[in-house]
Amino acid sequence: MENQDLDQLIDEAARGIVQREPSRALTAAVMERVRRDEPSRRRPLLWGGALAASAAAAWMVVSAIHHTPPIVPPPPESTSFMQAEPAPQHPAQPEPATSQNFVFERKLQDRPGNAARPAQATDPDMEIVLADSITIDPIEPTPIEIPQIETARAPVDEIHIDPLEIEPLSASDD
Amino acid sequence: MTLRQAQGQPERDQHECRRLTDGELVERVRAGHTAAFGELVERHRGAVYRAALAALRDPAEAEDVTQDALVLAFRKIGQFRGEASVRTWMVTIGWRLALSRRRNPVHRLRQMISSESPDAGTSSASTPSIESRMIDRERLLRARREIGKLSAKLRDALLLAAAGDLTQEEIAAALQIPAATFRWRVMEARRRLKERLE
Repeated sequence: MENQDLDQLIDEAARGIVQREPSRALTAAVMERVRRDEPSRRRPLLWGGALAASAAAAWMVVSAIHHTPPIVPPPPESTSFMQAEPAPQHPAQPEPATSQNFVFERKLQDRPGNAARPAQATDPDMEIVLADSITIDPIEPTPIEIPQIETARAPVDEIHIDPLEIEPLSASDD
Repeated sequence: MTLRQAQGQPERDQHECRRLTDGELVERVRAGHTAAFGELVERHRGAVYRAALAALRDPAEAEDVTQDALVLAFRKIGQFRGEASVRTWMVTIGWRLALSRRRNPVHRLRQMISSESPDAGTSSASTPSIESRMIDRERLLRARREIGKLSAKLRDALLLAAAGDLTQEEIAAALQIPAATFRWRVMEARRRLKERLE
């Protein structure tokens, strides 16, 4: 067989293996799978959107809870005629002199930070409301009586052991 | 929108898609137009199928792989960067799936069984007499058997070249080998076949 014929034969044989067309149903099958696949392909996007929305909502709620009104500086002491009249001063309520209050005040004064801020303690605008003292009656221990434990002795029977008799070897059957 | 308009909408979309380039269709698919992917499938399904057939030499299995490859291409269309043509990209996906299928023991078993009774497939209608047609058929069957006996690398190169869908450079890119290596494999496959068929 000539070289050219062999080339032709090889080409024909190779083309015979691969030069075919897929069935017409292939495109329809692919598109059906693609359409079926499409919602699941978009699902991550939907989940992402939902997560982002919930995160934003949570942030808004948290920020609303922790929202503090803007600090308005107290008006400067004015000498205008509207504020010339001093505000009515409430007479200071005498606090009950209890030992607990005394200790509390002592502790406040003893703290190094508080000692450095004497103006704060004497600030008339600041009111420290202390709770009423609680008086606790001393607990008196009552003795607990424990009855005497009686022990009874159980009688022990005596055991009698007979003396062991060893048979001489010569008397044995073996 | 009337019913008539609604029925005519997909046809109009299809008609419009036919005028678009592959790159424009890819952009449309990315934008959510599934119908545009249908046009891409119509254009390239043959090339993907023939590449799968070159690897598997089984029409039914090749069709399965082509279907899987095209669905995978739809899922991964976001990753298409346009470095190669859409056809090469789809053929590469199909080729990899086909190679994965070829490694499957079930496929190997089927291949062993089918190699016992090969199908000539094409007819040589140009031959005049029944006798000469019989001789040609016999030679063709023998050539196909010898192609089957080639090593996978040489056979793949020969069959992909015979499919005629891609250029040498595109096939080399799909096989992830240099174009020169691909050309050498085709030549070597032909040389060995000639030795055996003489």
